[in-house]
Amino acid sequence: MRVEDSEFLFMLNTYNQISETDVVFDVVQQMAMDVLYCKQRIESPCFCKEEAPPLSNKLLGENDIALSCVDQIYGVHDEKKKLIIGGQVRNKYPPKLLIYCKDFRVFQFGLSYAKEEEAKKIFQGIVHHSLEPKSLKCAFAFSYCEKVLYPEVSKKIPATVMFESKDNWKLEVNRTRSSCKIAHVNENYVVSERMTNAVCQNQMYPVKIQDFSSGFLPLSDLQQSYNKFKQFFLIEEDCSDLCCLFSSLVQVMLDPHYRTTSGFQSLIQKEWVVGGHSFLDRCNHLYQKEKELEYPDSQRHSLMIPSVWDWSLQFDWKVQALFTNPLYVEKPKQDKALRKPYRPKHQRQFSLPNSSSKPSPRKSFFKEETDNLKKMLSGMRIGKWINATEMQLSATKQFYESWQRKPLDYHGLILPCLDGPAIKIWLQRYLRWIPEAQIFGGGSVLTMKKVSDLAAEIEDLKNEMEKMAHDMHAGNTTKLFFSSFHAPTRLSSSFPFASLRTWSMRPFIPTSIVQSLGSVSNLAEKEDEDTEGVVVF
Amino acid sequence: MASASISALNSNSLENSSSKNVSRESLRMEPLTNIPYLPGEEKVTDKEIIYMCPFNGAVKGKVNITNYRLYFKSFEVDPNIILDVPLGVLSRIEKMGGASSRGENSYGLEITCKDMRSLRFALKQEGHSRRDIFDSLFKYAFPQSHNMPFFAFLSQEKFLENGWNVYSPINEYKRQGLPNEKWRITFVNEKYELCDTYPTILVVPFKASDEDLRRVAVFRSRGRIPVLSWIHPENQAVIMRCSQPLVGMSGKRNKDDEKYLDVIREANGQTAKLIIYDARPNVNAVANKATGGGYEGEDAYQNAELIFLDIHNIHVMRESLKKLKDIVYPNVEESHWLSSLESTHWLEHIKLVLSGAIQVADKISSGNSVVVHCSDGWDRTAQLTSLSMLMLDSYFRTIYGFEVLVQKEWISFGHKFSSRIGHGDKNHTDADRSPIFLQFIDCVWQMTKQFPTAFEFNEHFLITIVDHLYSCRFGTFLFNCESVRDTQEVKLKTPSLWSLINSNIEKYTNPFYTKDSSRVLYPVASMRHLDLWVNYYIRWNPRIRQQPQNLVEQRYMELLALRDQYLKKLEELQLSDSPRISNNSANSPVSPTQIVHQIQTQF
Repeated sequence: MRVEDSEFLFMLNTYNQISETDVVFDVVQQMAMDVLYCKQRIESPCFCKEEAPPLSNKLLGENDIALSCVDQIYGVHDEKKKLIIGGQVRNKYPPKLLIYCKDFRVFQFGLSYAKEEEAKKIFQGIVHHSLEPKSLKCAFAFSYCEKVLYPEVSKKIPATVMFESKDNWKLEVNRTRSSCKIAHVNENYVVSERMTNAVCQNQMYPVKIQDFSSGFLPLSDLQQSYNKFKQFFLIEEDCSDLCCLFSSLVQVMLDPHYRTTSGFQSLIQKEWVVGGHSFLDRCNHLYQKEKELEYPDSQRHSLMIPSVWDWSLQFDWKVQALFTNPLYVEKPKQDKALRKPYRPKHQRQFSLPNSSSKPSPRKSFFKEETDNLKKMLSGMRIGKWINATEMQLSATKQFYESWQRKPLDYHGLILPCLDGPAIKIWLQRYLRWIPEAQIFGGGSVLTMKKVSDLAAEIEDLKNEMEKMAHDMHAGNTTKLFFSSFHAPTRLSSSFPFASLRTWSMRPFIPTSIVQSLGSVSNLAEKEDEDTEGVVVF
Repeated sequence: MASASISALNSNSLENSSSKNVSRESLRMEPLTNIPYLPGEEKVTDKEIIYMCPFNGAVKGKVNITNYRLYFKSFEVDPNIILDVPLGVLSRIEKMGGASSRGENSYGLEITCKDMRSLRFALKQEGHSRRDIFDSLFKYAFPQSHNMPFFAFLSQEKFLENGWNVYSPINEYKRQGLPNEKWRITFVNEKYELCDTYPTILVVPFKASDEDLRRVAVFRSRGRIPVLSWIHPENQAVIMRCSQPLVGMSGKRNKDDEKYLDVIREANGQTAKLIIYDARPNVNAVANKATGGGYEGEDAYQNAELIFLDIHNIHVMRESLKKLKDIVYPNVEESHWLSSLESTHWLEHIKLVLSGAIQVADKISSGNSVVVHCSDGWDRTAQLTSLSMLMLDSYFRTIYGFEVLVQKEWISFGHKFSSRIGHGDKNHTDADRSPIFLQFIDCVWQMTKQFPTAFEFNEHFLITIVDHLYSCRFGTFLFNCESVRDTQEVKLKTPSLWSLINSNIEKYTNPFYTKDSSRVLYPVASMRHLDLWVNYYIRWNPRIRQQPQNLVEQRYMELLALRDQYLKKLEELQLSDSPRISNNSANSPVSPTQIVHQIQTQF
């Protein structure tokens, strides 16, 4: 077995992570926990545990920090912060430690009350395991896989397609009814160490390796083609960032399948994990400054490194209910004969490239309305994308407006609005550790709870009805997790991330109220009222 | 019930209320032209015209002017463009281009509206095609400048509910447990002799005689003495509102005023220091001394603590909104959206107002009485008292309660709606105009965003209120104070906005509303949680529509309808299952409603 494979394998099994919720990113950062660390977790002494946050993780407690999640460590001497660099730690240790995590948390630890030997050990241990270069073998996942007992996978949930085998790709090709062929040029990872051994050449998806013709080519040609391909994406070295980003986003917009839980997980597998995104570098898991990654010679198939998609390893089934969007409307199972695509009488032509050609008579599962976009995607050369002119931008705008004029179909193409006011900071994720930023007893979680409760009620009624209609016992009702929180006062906008112990009735009143108003300052000094007769304007 | 109103859940209130979802009792349709006319509405003129739509380009169509509205309809069906603008919304009408102007569509009219849009029309350059339409618009949009009545006085609209009955001061004070042994109702202002901008019925400390009140009035700007706005049902702490003391450059004192404030402090028995919130920035309060005003000095008011809330004046707010309009209409600023938004300071002002109200509410819930004032006590003071009351008292978060709140704190206590909005007045540069009430509604919207289940009303309710703030279709917001409204017999001669709303209440109801009477709501007044009210300020832009919250609301309504369907089916099943019940369903021991009830209570 080739050494290089193991990196791929590692990514495949360790970083295959992402769901609709914020959980995803955390796990990306945390899964590579160090064994040693796991054995002796740092329990923060200054917090007493009252209540675990609703989204509690089986492997990591609320105040646990996975070593791979540590971003920077500062030593604090006399109120002065000093960055600690791995490998330079001698016998000294600072009285206070500030740990900045990759997930935006900041922890402060005091070492002054610890015994000297212990403090030294703790300090050196943390620095060693989180700041110093380590080998891939030390990543926690490798040790974890030896211990984990696989829980029984629920049969209800459609499995995540891992895209590791040709069969996986075949299934996908069938699902999309596309006319692409599967190339196995990369069977031994000769073309790309990063990419999977089976690659789908496709008209529909952003092409993976465009210049390949069918069959095998001399190795040198392949390498050359690959280099050419890379040049399409001048922006980055190995096309694993933007390529993954664009291809997966486009597919989320086009294909409703990828908006389901298993579909989205499969998409991450396909475009990011198998697609070769450099998770290891981007997350800086191994803390290696140069990119001389060593690849442990692990046995590719004998190791069963757990997949992130086995959520039950980390979360209770009850907690997993939080991953579900209660607003989601499943595709209605309608009589095919009854369904007619919506077509307004005076439809304006999309003035997009290639839109004049007749739509293909063959009905693909994509909605008719996506045809033009697909054509645009497949017809345009990648080079053109990079040098997109004003004209093309306005074409995109026009495409958006034409799409917007049609009734919204959640199971068709969906396009996000890109205007400034429509783009917002993802508060629920980025501010979840900041108590002052929480709205106690508020936030959109309250409406979600209402929807959840109603959905559960409908589910109950459905069961009730089935029972009555068929006089048999219907299955147990799946109560959603929200339902266990009765009073809205128990919820906050940080739900489900923060625990409720920071609950306080007192409001947070922002300070620093005086502000400069620049050019209007002359107005600011004016009287509110134009007191009798004094009209300034 | 739930499914029926799904289609009505659109934020484009004016468009909807007058073109699509019109209530039968309020409208009749003119059969030929298909233009919605209100009872009492009369046609003035019409003309073929080109609407220079910023989103669709030049659109040919016909404009109809009535004594209430401007109605434009395009000749083309696709896209069918309709403009339905109450003339009260018009702020400025200008001619552009002359008879000799060259270039296509350069001859016409430019109309600036109070609701964030501007409209441009082009006309043919022959004859005097423009004069007629300009004159009609000018006359009917600014009736006050032409000695003509507001449309509200001509309206013949009839509603199922009478909105004028919503607010009765005596009933509201009774609801608050007033009068009691510490607080009394006084009729000293019955003939508006104490203060012509206050209502007739006031609540004051039991210990203060009417004679005391008269002496205090001398020392408060425009006689607006401290009076009770709200009392905490348990700790009896009170929110008092007033205008600034007339301290002046010489630092005058008034023993009666000082004594009066101390009587207020003593009333709930646990206020060591009466907190006086002066809404203004410190410097402005000092500057006011030059014109005879000022603030409560430390020496004179020993048992009080003065806190400035740094909220800017009406001029600053007006300019801020102007800047906001510049970045959202007709096109949304593209390249530097967030920094452009920040440079308008609009959200910053919202933050300061909300944060001031939070401080008031916080003091009250900890049992400390407060006095709130600004300069005259009818702009920033109204914002602060009404917002803190909204935080403290869940009654004001219901539809009726909110109507009472607006009627009480804004309308009856003399917020100068007429001057601030410029109802029917052609002088669009009037320095008295300012979006103070809009800013208050914006703050309320921010609260509803943060607490989506705490308010009985929805966004459509708020937008409807702001739309009719300008429309002059109702008497609700006309004139500056109660004394003028009495003279004009507003309640007798005009319909109330609350009649429209209360006659069709489902349309304005928040489906997520959960009654929770005991809670104080503290919104987070930090920029992180303040959003631009896109569905109001940018609603004319067709690209930006359908905010997520509305989608969630829509889906919830669908689910509610689905649940009702299931309940109904279940009911039918149960009836058919049991022959005993189906034979005699009316008198059966288990009636359908009981079944429904049982099922519902399971959850």
